[in-house]
Amino acid sequence: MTGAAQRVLKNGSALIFVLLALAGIVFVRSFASLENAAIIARQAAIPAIAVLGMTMVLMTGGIDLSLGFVVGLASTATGFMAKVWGFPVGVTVAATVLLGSLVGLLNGAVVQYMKVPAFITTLGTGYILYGVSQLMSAGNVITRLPPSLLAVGRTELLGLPTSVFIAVGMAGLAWFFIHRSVFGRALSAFGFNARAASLSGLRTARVNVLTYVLCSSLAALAGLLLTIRVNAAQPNMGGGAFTFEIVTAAIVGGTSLFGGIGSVIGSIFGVLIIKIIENCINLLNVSYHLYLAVQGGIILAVIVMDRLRSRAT
Amino acid sequence: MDELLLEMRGITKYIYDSSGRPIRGSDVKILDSVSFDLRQGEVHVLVGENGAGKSTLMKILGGIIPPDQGSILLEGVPVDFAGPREARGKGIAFIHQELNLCANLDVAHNIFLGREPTRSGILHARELYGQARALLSSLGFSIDPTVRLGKLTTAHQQIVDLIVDPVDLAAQSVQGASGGSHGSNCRERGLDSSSPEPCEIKENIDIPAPCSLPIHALHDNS
Amino acid sequence: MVPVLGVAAFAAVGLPIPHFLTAGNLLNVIRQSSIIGICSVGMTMVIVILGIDLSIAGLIALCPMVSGLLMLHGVPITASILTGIATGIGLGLFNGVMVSKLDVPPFITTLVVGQVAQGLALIMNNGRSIGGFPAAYVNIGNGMLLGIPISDYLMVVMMGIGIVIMQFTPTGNRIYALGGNETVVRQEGINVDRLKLFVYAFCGFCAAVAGILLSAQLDTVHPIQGDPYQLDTIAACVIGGVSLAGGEGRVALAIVGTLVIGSVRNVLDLLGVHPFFQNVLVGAIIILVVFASGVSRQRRAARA
Repeated sequence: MTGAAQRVLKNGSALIFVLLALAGIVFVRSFASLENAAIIARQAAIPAIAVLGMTMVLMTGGIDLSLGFVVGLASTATGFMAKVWGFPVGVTVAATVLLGSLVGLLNGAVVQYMKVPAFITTLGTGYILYGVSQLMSAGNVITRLPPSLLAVGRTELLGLPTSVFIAVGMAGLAWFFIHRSVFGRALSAFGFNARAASLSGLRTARVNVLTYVLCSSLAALAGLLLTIRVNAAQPNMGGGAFTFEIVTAAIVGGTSLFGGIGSVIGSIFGVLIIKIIENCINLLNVSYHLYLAVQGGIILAVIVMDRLRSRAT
Repeated sequence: MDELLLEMRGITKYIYDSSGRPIRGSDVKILDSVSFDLRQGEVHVLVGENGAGKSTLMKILGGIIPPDQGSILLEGVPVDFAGPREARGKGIAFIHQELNLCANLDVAHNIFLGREPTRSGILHARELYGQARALLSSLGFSIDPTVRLGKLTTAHQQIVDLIVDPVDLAAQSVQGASGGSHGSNCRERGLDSSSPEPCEIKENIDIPAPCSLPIHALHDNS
Repeated sequence: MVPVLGVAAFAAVGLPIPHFLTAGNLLNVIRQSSIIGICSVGMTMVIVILGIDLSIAGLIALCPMVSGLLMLHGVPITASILTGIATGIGLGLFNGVMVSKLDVPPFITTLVVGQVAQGLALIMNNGRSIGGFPAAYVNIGNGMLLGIPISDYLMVVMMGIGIVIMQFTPTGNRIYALGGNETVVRQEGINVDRLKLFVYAFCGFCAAVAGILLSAQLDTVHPIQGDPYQLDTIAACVIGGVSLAGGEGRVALAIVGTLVIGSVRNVLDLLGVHPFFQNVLVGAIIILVVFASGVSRQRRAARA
């Protein structure tokens, strides 16, 4: 068995994913089809982009509770730029991502330099962003976005929309950044022991701020693609539930809440696991509200298992 | 009185890992046949360069790590500590530089943490402060029990620490002197009923201060 | 320091606003703040032991949903309310177990429990609200006693319970000690796990009471009625001087913080400020207050 395959198997989330897929094929009618697989891929693409950023933030030992609200802000901003102000597509995309970066810069600066704990900071900024988006949109939903914008996410290649390929591309970049670059090692070192990392000369302040910038930028990109997907721009996009889903995916994928440990592949599988469960719940006609409670149960089970496992060693 | 309270004979310790066991394959000695005698009522000073082995010797005395060779005798009886709790049981404890106190509580609440006086479940404030005041004044200290611990001077905080944790034999690790007058107070009054014989590890001094206390110097022998 | 500023701001802002400083309006402010006030009692304890409780929103939705459904099915009011409260205590205990026995960071376990509670509140009645409760129940939320709303009494009672626990019992001393130096608390042989269980269970209890009161006030249980109270509760505690660094914070001052937040919201409402912009302000206030208290703490430490 090759080293890569061994590593994937060691990562529990891949195993869970395979088991779930098998269970789906066996127990759920109409699960086992190329169409359904495409649906799952479609559903997973946008959260997959967002989870990459959250993984990085979690690896530093922090959290970004504003993620879902950045999505909402990005959605509102996209609607304005594309429809109301008539910006060209390229500008819209770039400006939206830049908006996310600025939010991330704010988060990172407050956490790093003002020493306010991450969960308070991002909780606060999240609410602030939600308020801002609501005020901007004045309660309106902007629909019927220009086709040139929609093409960014909806163009089909091999039966899958571009958003899927963007997700794959981002995942690859993230994997490289986190697991193969100096930045990634600094990230991990900072997460394990911020003081030691700083004393060994790593530019920990910049690394910490950069993670929040990347997280919010990716969240903004996700918001843009989500807006394109549903062809509607509104502040309620994303929100707290989205943030929660992303955190769940990252933790199920093996990212540690205490920092230092994180895996891009794990997080991607985490998203896929969640989406498979969601898919089966839809196919089985189970209540969506039940699913929300189940999601919570999943993350609790994973956390408990993780804690028990680290106790035993 | 001239009887030996504590004897450490021929203590040898090889370089060790975090659990106190010797690192395999190394013959580097941290302590090489160190001996040390302490009599009732004495205060000793242990000096040495960084890495000379002061903390290691004290850790062995305190039962935190075992010696590789040598023996410890308390009042003539050989002792073999399985852990710090046994050492504490025999009256040996550390006054650490990091105080084991809550800076956000006042002196009285710190002293009585875990055994707060109550009247049918409610804290009995008068008893709490009354007993604290009585205890402090019987020891000759003018510390106000209603003051927040964090507001006291370091020396006063260490005194409160000693009161919370009274010991027979105390090994004190201090960075810089903690004041002569307090030291003599402890020696004269004693805490609880037995008098402590503190032996201090002073760190970060360039030249041993001239004083009449017996000074032991550990040299780095590598 | 901070509470003094809060009261000063309160006076400065309140004076020029018409209708604000009337007895009727102020009592109304207290009545509306009572929900936050009750939550802040439990939240103070949690923050003192260096924790946080993000499940408040979910519990404010779930607990009254439980008691509400029971009442609508003919179960006596008292039994229904007690069941709802038991739900809150139970989930609070669960949080406590996760934090103490399994070392899970409080923000994650409470976030998850909050989501689960929210999800359950939605499931229980298929996402729909319920209402039309017995008059006696609604009276708790809207009735008056000697000219003062019953809600206000309830908040004062909860505040009283909190103050007694924190300032006048050994448990309170140990809770503060836990926030100051966990090591020494363990050394004194105190059962730290049991302390944490108590604190989180009590916070769940407060959230349950608050939620049940809210539904009594509105004669409705809306499945997502808890959301606005999460942030405001934290804001109330932070403004009231409860330190996120642990070991500091008094219930009485948290109530002061509650009144400040309640007044701020009331004033902004009277001025016609959009609720969403209010959230922007509250979020900014929290960050700034935490930052300011962190800075002043560092300065004090440097001076000492």
